[in-house]
Amino acid sequence: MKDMPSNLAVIRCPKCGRLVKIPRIYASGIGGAKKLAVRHEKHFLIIGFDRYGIVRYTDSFDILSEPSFSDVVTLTCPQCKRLIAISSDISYGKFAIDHQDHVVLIYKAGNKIEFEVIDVIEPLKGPPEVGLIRKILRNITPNELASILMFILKQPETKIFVPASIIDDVKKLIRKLFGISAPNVEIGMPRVYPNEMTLDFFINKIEHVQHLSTEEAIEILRESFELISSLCDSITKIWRLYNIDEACKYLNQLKTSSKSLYNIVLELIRIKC
Amino acid sequence: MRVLKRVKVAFAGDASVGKTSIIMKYLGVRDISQIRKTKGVSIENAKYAGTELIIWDFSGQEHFRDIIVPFLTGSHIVVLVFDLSETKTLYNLIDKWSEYVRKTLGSNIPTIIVGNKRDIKRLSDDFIQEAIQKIRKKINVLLYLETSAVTGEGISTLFDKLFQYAQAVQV
Repeated sequence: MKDMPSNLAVIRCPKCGRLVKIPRIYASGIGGAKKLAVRHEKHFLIIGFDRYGIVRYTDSFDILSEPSFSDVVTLTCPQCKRLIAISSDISYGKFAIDHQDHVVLIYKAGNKIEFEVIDVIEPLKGPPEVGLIRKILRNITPNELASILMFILKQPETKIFVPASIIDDVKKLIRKLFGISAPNVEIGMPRVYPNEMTLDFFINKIEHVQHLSTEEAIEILRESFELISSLCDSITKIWRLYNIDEACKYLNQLKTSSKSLYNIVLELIRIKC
Repeated sequence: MRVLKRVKVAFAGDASVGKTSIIMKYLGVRDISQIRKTKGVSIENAKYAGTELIIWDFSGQEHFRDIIVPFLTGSHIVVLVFDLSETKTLYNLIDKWSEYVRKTLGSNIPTIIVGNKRDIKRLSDDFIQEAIQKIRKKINVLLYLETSAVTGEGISTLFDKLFQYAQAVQV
């Protein structure tokens, strides 16, 4: 049975880096997102949830104060019917108009305007939530957790050793990330993956997600695995369609954009081929 | 054996605008509701009259962008897709995707702009045209067309055009 997500989502604002804790909401249809806005002094954080209640995207919009004079274009807020005035000097841009319990997001292109209204929510206060990744990291280092992920990525049935206090948490993480129903986890000293050059990518990801809610952290990690798998597949497909030189060209491009990811992909392609 | 002319076509744009759905619909997948989000890149191919399109479907997710954008290199044609029901996806074509294309491939790269999800279109034509004008200032937009991967509308027109442009490409 699929686990239900927790009631709270903890995410990071892409603009100011602040952690925000809010109740989880659900979109109604496929592909669409249900959005909420959180006020952050000079900008709004916009959060889009999918139909499973998982945060699919975050964005930020600077708050625009309405001009008191100068040439303006006006529109009416569809929610509160208040008149919105936007300076004609702005020919292009996206920004937010603060209407207290809702925000009007404005997109301007030339003299054409599109807008949408999103409800504003007050983030919850209180002690930070301790998600699954944070719990595990209280007992092992990011290096050791990255090694676990790398061992499993390379060979899913591999035996993993962790301290007794987190054995259930690590099993849960592996189940959620890789869909392995009975992970091979035992009590013992965690091992470090022999090719340490492959660990940086996961260490960065782990550090990035450790304070997020479990669902959002797992989603980001899972996407990272899928990214790795898609890169391995694409490069081997290029090899098949063209030749090894062409595949190497793309590998070199990957090396330039992300050396740590390149190390992982190279390691996995070597095993595969 | 007839030698195929291979043309690299890049599909790019924000996450969830329907890039993979458009490609899969063309390749004959009937139920697009089961299509999963692309992570990284995915490569498909389609052949017609001695031309093979090598279709690179790029993930639209923000946190993968730095990694995948360099893979645009070598594209002969670019298809930039936005969602006709989500203004921000068109805005990101102006702000982000057309910039990535220009920086990676130069401003002359032949580009088709596709507004997908025509079945639930919300954006006004005026706004779309204004936005496309903005994109035209950065890259070589050959064509704008609207599609619906749900109903199939516009999909074959898009690929007919792609093959037509591909035949003119020097590889």
